[in-house]
Amino acid sequence: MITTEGLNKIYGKDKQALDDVDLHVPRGVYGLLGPNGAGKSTLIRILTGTLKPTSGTARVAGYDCVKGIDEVRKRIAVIPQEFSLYPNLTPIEFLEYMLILSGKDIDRSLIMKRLYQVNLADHAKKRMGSFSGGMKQRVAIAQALIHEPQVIFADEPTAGLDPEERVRFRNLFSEIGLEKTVLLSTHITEDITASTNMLSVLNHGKIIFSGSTRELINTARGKVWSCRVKSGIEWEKFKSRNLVFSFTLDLDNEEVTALFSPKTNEIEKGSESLEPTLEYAYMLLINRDEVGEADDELSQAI
Amino acid sequence: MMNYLRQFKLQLKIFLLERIHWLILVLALVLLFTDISFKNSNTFSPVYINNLSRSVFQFTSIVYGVLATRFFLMEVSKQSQIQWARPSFRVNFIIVKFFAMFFGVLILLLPTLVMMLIRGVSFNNLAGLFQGASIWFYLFTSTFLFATVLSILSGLLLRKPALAMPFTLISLIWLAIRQTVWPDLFKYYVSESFGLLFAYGPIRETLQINRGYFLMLSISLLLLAILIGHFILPANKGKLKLKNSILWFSFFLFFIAGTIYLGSRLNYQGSFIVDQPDLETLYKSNDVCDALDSYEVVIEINEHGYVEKGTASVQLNTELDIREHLLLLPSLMDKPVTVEETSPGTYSIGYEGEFILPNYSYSNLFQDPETSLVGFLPGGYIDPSRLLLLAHGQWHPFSKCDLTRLELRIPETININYSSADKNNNANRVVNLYWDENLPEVLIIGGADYVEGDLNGQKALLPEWLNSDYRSHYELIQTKFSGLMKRVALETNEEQNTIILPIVGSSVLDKNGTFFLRSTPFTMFLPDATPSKLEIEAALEVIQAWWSQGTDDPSLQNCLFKRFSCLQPTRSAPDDKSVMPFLYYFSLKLTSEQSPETVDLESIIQLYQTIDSDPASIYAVPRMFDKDEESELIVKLFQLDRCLEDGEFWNVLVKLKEEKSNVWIDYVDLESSILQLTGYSLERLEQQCPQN
Repeated sequence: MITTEGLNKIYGKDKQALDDVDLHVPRGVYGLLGPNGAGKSTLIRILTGTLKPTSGTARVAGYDCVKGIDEVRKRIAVIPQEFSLYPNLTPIEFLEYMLILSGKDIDRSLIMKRLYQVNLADHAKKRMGSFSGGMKQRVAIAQALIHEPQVIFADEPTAGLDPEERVRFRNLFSEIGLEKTVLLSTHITEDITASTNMLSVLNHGKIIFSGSTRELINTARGKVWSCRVKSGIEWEKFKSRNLVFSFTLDLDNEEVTALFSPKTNEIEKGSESLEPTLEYAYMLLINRDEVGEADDELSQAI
Repeated sequence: MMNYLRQFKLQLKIFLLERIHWLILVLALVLLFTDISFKNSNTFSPVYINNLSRSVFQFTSIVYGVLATRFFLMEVSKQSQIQWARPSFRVNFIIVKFFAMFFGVLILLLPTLVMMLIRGVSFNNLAGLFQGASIWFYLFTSTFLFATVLSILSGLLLRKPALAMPFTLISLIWLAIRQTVWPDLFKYYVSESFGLLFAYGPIRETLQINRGYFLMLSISLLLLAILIGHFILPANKGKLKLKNSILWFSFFLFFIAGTIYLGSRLNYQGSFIVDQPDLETLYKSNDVCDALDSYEVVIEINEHGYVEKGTASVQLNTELDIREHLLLLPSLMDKPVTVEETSPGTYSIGYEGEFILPNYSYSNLFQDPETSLVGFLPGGYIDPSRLLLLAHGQWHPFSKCDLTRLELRIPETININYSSADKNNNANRVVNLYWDENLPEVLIIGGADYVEGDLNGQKALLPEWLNSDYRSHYELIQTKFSGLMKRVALETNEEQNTIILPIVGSSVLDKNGTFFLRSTPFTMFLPDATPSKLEIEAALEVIQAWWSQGTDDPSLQNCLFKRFSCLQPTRSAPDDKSVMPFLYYFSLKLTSEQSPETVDLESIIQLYQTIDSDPASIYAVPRMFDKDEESELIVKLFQLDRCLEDGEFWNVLVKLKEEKSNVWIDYVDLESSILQLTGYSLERLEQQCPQN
């Protein structure tokens, strides 16, 4: 449904936002994972026709994102990270407007159906200015579904949501993914884990991984360790030798329990190997320059 | 199209629901209610609405411009991907926004019009309200159209509210506070829009061009914004469609050509409007008039109707440097004036240019006190549809002096509606008209679509567009004129009394006894146009025109010719203007004699007696005066009138006109003249005439 080949975007003279991006997104929910500034939003803007690529091609639903952008727009919807939702309109009015902007006739029953789907039917006639962040995101989902698009681009959709809303949101995505193609762009690995098993990782404008979540997790197998370290100078030295994913402090014993991956091929004494998660695998991937070859050698040795 | 309309409806809703936009309405109502003329209006509805709208629109358009910029930018940021990723949110975004903003502010400001119309109802008829509403829309459309387009352009080019909003604010403040004249190309805000309906000659023409220019400019800029938007807005980078491109280009070509054409016309018009009189030379006019033994002029009028070329021959009876007395406006000349002494004391003066009636000679607007002292200088104004040449217009070198002979050459293509020429002939598609001595005031009227008709059985030249309202007004004037002529015991001749409707700003009674009626009925400027007031004002118009025959005092002419110009204290007139209530009393007298069933003189006088204590009387009296003494004088004149024999007071009027119409008559003068003529003293009426 979405393919890019050799896609480049350079801002100004030399700010490379996308570097030779090749992407193939099949039907269903597909994750696009990457840290902030990786180029995810730029990629989505190109795919939705609000930005032109410097070179390369991008196709959505079979249409070129530059030459056939009018056709692309008929088949897509966007759920952005930040958006303004006309605070004085009600969800019904807003969805009516979105239908108009999609060139469709106003269909009240369809609007109500979507509002039920996102659990906003009770708020259908309230001004959106009073909505919480989660409710606004649900309006954003409703607007994305309103004109029956084939492809939905979700750019950091769960940012700023509380845990309950986030869970509800992920479930909605999974549900939508049964019928449509959803490109879920995020830097939160849990969003991916809960919604899809296919993803690409984008970093510094480059696709550095494409495959299943399992494959990504497997790349981290044997590279994630747990260890207890004395706080203070020893802990400082530990951090310089290892990539620390997380740690907890035991104040009574003045010890730190850390989850980490070693930067060299020496494993800290007393370390225990752990089963990797997507988050650790992703962290390892985007920090692979730091962890480097040593990690590979280490994992082979194990 | 349906999609456009639906988008427009939603955007309009968004505009109106945005609470900060209600600030426009609140500000407009505050400005309206705090405007002193809202409560104390004593003027007619269109002028009243114009004056109020002027202050309301001037400030609200600035606030609106800033808010409109903010509103335009609502969907221009990166946060509007939802909209921009949709197929119908492209270049039409600008068009939809434009209409939503324009109609949005129209809806927000309509209550001010409604409030003004409600107030206007109390002192005007439906026609007046309609005219008032027209004025409101004239002012609104051009002002807010430009402000809307400016906000779109600044938003589009600067993209960030923090930059675009201050830019719009500064631009609009700059445009609003600049002291400019109508022909100025940046005069986006015109306060005297009622001139579009009621003005004549260059004033209306310039206003029309100015408004047309800003309309064209605004639409051209809007089209430009659409083009810019195509290239820089987030979703507008698709290829240009040939059909759309041709459509856009055709519109743009039309509107930009219109902008350039009207802009150049406006610049051209500026050379007439900004002219100021040569006061020094004007004040010396009497010297040169006394020195002229003969003064003959030959002029040519071109096919556009302008006085293009002239040759004046003068014979002096005393030594005088005539170069220092030329009143021709230098800005209207194409070449320097040539002065040649053909024989001792005889000069030939040649001039070429495009001479029209200068703005200051008929306009009350933007005049400094010195200029307003120039008074009424009827002249030759010619525009594409109307031509009027008056004997003392500034189209000949010594405008204030009487001509002894005039030859006028006018193209056959110009239709002459009226000519006072002694003789004429045609040659080479040119009509030659000749006047020898005793030139009347009005020389020719031409170009306009006048037709011969009759008013109350009198032969009259009437405009083709005459409607029943105008006709009844003109008939009223004609009735008053006939009535006055009978009472002042003048021999009248049917032919001479023909009423003609030229484009003069005030009615003129010609030396030959022909009455030239102003084309815009002054009753349109009249508060509470009751039948009684209409009658009285019509009579006053006639009486003042008759009185002005013997007047060459500029400040007195100014008061007689320019309606309402002397109601308030003015530097150009003396403090004691007793002659004005004196003439006004005769308009009351004439109408009460002619139409006693409509005008009850006694009850009107009672109103003037209670004007001090009863505020309601202020608006009930047909005409207010700015001094209590003047109202008291009207009461005294009434009391005197009751003491005199039938017709005796009319004789007083005639005698005073013969002796004193050339000068201001103050109360002391009036009192002594009346004493001399009737034996009654205005100060001792109670003793002399006890029945009062």
